[in-house]
Amino acid sequence: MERGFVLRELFKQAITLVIFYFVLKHVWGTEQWFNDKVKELLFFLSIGIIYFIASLAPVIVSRPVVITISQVNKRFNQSSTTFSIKGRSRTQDHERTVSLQVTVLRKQSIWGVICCKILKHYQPKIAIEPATPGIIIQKDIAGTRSDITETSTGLILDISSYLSSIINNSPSGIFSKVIDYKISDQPLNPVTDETIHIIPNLMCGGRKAPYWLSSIIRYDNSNCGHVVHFKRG
Amino acid sequence: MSVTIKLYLYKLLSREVTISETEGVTPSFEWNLLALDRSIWRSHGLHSLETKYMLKPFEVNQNDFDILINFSNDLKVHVLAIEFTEELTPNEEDELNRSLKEHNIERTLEFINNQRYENHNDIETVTFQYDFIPGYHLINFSRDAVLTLENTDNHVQNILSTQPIGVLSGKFIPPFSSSKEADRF
Repeated sequence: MERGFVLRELFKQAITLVIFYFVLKHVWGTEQWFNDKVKELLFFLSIGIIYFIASLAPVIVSRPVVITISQVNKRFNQSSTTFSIKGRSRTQDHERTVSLQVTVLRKQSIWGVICCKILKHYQPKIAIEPATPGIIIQKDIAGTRSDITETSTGLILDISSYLSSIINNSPSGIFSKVIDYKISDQPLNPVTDETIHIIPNLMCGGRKAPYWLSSIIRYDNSNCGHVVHFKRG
Repeated sequence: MSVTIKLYLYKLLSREVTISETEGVTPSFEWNLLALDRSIWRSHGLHSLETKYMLKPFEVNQNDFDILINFSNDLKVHVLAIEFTEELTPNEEDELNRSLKEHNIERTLEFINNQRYENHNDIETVTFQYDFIPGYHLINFSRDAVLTLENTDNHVQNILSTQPIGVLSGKFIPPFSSSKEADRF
């Protein structure tokens, strides 16, 4: 919208300058001050071209999608969960359910098509797993959601088709989806008192996504870790 | 003479794995579950099986217990007893048993809700009977996914593929309308 307006204005000015040049040349073509005037006109034209390139720059530089993740305890709205097991009693189910929100910011960019190709080929996924052993993460709701698969300690969220449809269908905007998961203990690997972080990572084909992928998809997980204070006994 | 079988249930993560016939290892045809006989499989053996077949232990969601009770008519089960993490007072016990005996699903669920949100008390086990198994038998499903079968004539594999097991292991949501509406018609 704004870019189109800038372009139109620049184009109008360029035409005005060119017409002005021909009129001057026709009437005062031989005089010295005319040559000076031509220099002036060239200066204005080149400034216009610089403006034009500058207006394109954000579209070239900006990445089509930016992914941010946040994780909060659903009951207490905090970024940490206390999970204690004492004999038979343990922290209640609904007090150790965590909401993970994936927010996708779609920005105007010329790399959208290329990004879709990369998404199709590399199939990036978000792995939600505890960083150290002692707890496991399981789905909170039953059913066969095709974008969530379980791993031995956590969940994997497939976001490639989600991102592709955002890129294909919308030039800009904010999208988000929420996944609830429940924190459980690991029966065969009992730990006593531990602080365990759950940090979602961007994965490609079973390993951490290559660094260059961040040049086309910005993935921000710096502030999204969920801290679990585990206590037993 | 009553025969009691105790089984640990696990989620099978990989669909491609073929389960070799081993004593005390029973897969479910329907739900991607694996049941291990507790009398045969002990801790060190469990570890090796867990990595061999990609097993994931699970904890039954409280919500899934609710679903089982709510849809017990459609699932063709008869809930006989509900045990909580903290023991109930004799009064509460009476109230719960009365609702269960009368098949009053609404009142049972209300009781569970009260326990959960006011007394901070979660469901530990649910004991039920299947309508399709004749005679006296008990099926007990605990929160840590231990299935106890009593007098079920060794139909372990059939039982593992039933809908109630699918509900409790978080693999299946009943497509029926809620029991409240079903009562009205």
